[in-house]
Order: sequence, then structure tokens, then C-alpha cells
Amino acid sequence: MTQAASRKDDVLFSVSNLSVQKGELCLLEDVSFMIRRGSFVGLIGPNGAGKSTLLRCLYRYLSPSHGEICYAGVSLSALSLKHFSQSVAVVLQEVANDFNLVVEDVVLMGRTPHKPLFSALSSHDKQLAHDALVAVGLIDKVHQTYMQLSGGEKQRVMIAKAMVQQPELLIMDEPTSHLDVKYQIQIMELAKAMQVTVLASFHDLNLAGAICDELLVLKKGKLVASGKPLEVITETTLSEVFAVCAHVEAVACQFANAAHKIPHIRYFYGYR
Amino acid sequence: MGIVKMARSKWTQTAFIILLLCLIFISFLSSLSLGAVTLSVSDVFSALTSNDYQSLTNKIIIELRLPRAILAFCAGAGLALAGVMLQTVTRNPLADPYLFGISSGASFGVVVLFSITGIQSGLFLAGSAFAGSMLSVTLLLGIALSARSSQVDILLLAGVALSFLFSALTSLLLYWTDPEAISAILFWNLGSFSRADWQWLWLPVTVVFSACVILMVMRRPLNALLLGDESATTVGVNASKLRIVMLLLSSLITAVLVASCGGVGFVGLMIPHIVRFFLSQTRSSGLLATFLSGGLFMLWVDVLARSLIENQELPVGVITASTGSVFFLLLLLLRTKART
Repeated sequence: MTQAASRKDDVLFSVSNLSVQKGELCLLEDVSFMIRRGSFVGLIGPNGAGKSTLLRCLYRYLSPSHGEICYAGVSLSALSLKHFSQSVAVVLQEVANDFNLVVEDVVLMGRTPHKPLFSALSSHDKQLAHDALVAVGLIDKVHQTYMQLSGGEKQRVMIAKAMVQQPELLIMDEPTSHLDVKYQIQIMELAKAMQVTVLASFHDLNLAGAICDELLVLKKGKLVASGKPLEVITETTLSEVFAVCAHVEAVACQFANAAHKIPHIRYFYGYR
Repeated sequence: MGIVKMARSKWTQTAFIILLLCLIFISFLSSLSLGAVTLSVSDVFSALTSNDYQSLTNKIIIELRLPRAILAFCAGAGLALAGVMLQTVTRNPLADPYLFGISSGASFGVVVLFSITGIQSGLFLAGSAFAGSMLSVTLLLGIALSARSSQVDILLLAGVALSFLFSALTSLLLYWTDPEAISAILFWNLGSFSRADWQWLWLPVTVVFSACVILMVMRRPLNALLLGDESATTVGVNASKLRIVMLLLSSLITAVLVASCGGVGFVGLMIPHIVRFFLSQTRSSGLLATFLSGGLFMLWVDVLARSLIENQELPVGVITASTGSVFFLLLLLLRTKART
């Protein structure tokens, strides 16, 4: 009994038989999985596989047609949006904005779920924003207009916004697309440094394999594989799900312990 | 950089508000003393403090100019607030309180009443203007409620469509009725504070000031919409519900103001932008400054309307659009220069 309870406590998100239908179109079909507390989970799949739809259901922008999502054992329908957003932060792609917001304003928006309607910003909120901007290396741009920043800087501001939200789970929807390699790695390391549970969708399979503890693979709205990177990223999956020919090798991760191996993909070209 | 640098520290923000309050105080006094008959400031003070309602000076000040000044302040402040709300919930910097056909709805109401009954002034006319604008708002809200996804785009397009629809209906009715009706319509399209009186002043005052309080309280969820509906959802804000509430509130302000002083254009579009150059709208100081600047601007517009041409009153809308656009272009130019 106690063991069962502690195992239940260990699961942050549990998704069972999730389906999303839009008219005739089936965006997600019977998806079930669990996310354990403290894990770094990657969501991969080709374009249109339903990655964003799945994440949108999890952060409650979409409501599923069937199935149930539970957060820390409580069904999402029983959790208020405000309460939920106190423990789950989301990093999305940037949105254009012409309202002359400065970096600090954007970061402080992350405090919204924690502030009652009548309260003013406290020095605690400002300190959190300051610390987050130091962590993402943008403290010298705190008063700069958000729209004047580069793509990588904007994305780091979004991470800082998620940090001040003080979540226990961070969801990221392709946080690194359009970014330089340096920032792709930096953004992921920032997420890792927050020491919270992370669920992120990826385009770059090598990056996903190197960073994540666990991967979920979607294809045409169905969950086709899940498990450790080395189990999931195989030549078979790559050809069946992503329709590419590649060679996968298990290599030791130089900067972590040598026993920890990550998949390394080399794509082949000109075989068609 | 100089002028167009944003105010960051708490101190400069407070200074900004205090400056605005002082300017408003001075402007109120000037507005009461300037006009067809110029009165001294001491006359103004004595009229405000005395109980003698018989002398002509006191009558001019208390019965004519004071309600006008209060209505002008409310109109400017209210339209600026409505502008901030609509620009935020649609994330469109070009949104303005009249974008959604509210004023063409009001004109339509006026023409319908006029062509049926021939009434050209009075409470019935204000009532029908209000009814007309609420009709267009109801249609718009119906459309917004039925569209849960991509609500913003649908709102903007539907608003423009409704605006054209009501203008067309108004033109059609005008074509059939008395040419005299045209002057009544012109009043509604260009705006005037000449109908301000103590009896009905409580309505715009209550609506505008309570909207200001509501907006201050709701500023955090409202501003969360600036980064998109999805982002707002992730910080616990129900975007489409909040949008409907804000739409309703801004429509109410606009409809009440249109009914009491006609469709004064450009203020709702311009004031929020001007304030945004200096203060962030995510802070309470930014919203308060928008409210105060709108009122301040309109106080002076009213003074100009009354005193530019002797023995004649200029339509308010003409002054707001002409002075406002020049000032706005100047600021825009300064800011682009500061950036490069």
C-alpha cells in the first residue's frame, strides 16, 4: 500500500487514452504515458505528428476529446487554471509584440499566477526576476525593449519568465528551433539547471538523445515508442517514423560519467 | 534619447503621475476660466466656493463650464482606457474604441429615431445612440462567443464588417429622410461637449471611474494577453473569457460616452501609444498615466473647441484628430531618431 502510494507520488503527469479530434481529423489517438518526477522527457516525431497538440493538451490550451490527464494524481478538470499554472510553466515560441515591453516586464509576467488581483509587485518578485536574468545571462539587458533582442535572447527571456514562475514542471514546445547551435545547447542546459521535471519537444534528434532521460515518439497522432534514448533512437525507428536512413552508434558522453551512453546519429544522403 | 527614454525607476514613475495630476488641476482651472467670456482665476475660485447661484459669472462656471469640463475629462480618460483594453485584448496597436462599429451603431440609432419620430435632441436621442451602440456590441459579442479559436482575427474582421454595415444602413436612411437629419448625425460623428449637464453627468463619471478601478485590479491578467493567448493560458489566465469581459467593459464605456458627447475619435487610439513611449503598461503607473493623460488632453481640446473661433464651437473630433495626429507623428519621429 505504502509502496503503491509512493509510486503514485512519483508520477507527475499521467496521460491515459488521450485523443483529440478536430472535425473528421484525428490529431491524437489513444495516447497514454507517464512522466516521473525529476525526469527530463523529450517528445520527438516528424512534422504534423501531433507534438504541439499533445503539449497543448498538457498545458491546457486545448481540451482533449477523449481520455484523462492527471497532474500529481488529480484530474486536470478538477484543478483550477490558476492553481495549475503555479506549478507548471511553459516556454513557447516567441510572439511578436508591438507594445514596447521591456525584458523585465516580460519576465515579471511569470509571476502572474502567484499574485492575488490586488497586490503590487513585491521586492521578492523583483529579486526573482533579477536572479533569473542573471541565470540566463541577460541582466545587462533588463531594461531593453523585448522586441529588439535577437532570437536566442528572446528565448532566454522566456526561460527566465518560466523560472520566476517557480514551477515543478517545465514544458517547452520546440524551444530551440531557429536558434544557433550554441543557443540550442545553452537553452537546454538552462532548463536542466532549473532542476525541475522537464517535458520538451525537439527537432534535433541528436540533441534530444543527448539531453533527455526518456523519449516519447509520436507518429501520425499515435505514440509509437517510448523509453530511454538508446532504446528509442534506433535505425529502425529512424526509418519507420522519420523516413530517413541513418547509422546510430552508442557513444559515451564525455562531460557526464563515462558509463552514460547516448545515441549518436549519422544521417546518410543520396540513397534515393 | 532624452525625452523618449522610458521611465524605469519607481521614483520617476511617481513623478510622472504627480506631474500629470498638477497639470490636470491647472487645466481644470483654465478650462473654467477660458471661453467666450474670459473669467479670472479668482472668479473661478469664488464661484466654486460660494453658495450664490444667481450671479451670471457663477452660473457660467457652475452650470455651463464645470459639467463640460468634467464630461470632457471623463470622455478623454474613458476613451484612453477603452483604447488600452482593446489594443491589449486584440494585440493590435491599431485597435481603437470605434473599431468595432460602436460609433456607427450609435449613429444608426440616432438616425432611426430621427426618421421615425423627428426628435432631434434630448434624452431620447442619447438613449437611442446608446441602444444603437449596444446593438452592434451585442452582435460582436455573439460572434466572439461562437469563435473560440482565432478569436482575435475574427473579432477584428467582424468589427470592421459591422462598422461598414451600420454606416451603410445609416446612409440609406439618411438618403430617404430629411436633410436636417444630417446635422444631427454630424454631431454624433464629430462629438461635442455642449450637451453636458449635471442631471446626467453621474452616468459617464461612474462608468469611467469604475472602469479605471477594474482595469487596475485586472491589469496583470490583462497584460498577460500581450504575449498571446497560449502564453496567457500558461500563467493561469482564461484568455477568451477575459477578452469577452474586457470587450464588454470597453464597449460600455464607449457607448455611454458616445451617447453623452458623440463619437470623439483618435483619443482612444493615440493616448495609449503616447503613454507607452514613456511608461510600461504592465505597471499600474502606466495605466493610471493613460487614464490621466486622456482626460488632460480632452480638457484642452474642449477649451480649444470653445475658444478658437469666436461665437462658434468647433467639433471636438476635428481638434482631437488634427492636434493628436501631429503630436503623435512628432513623437514617432523622435523615437525612430533616438533608436538609430
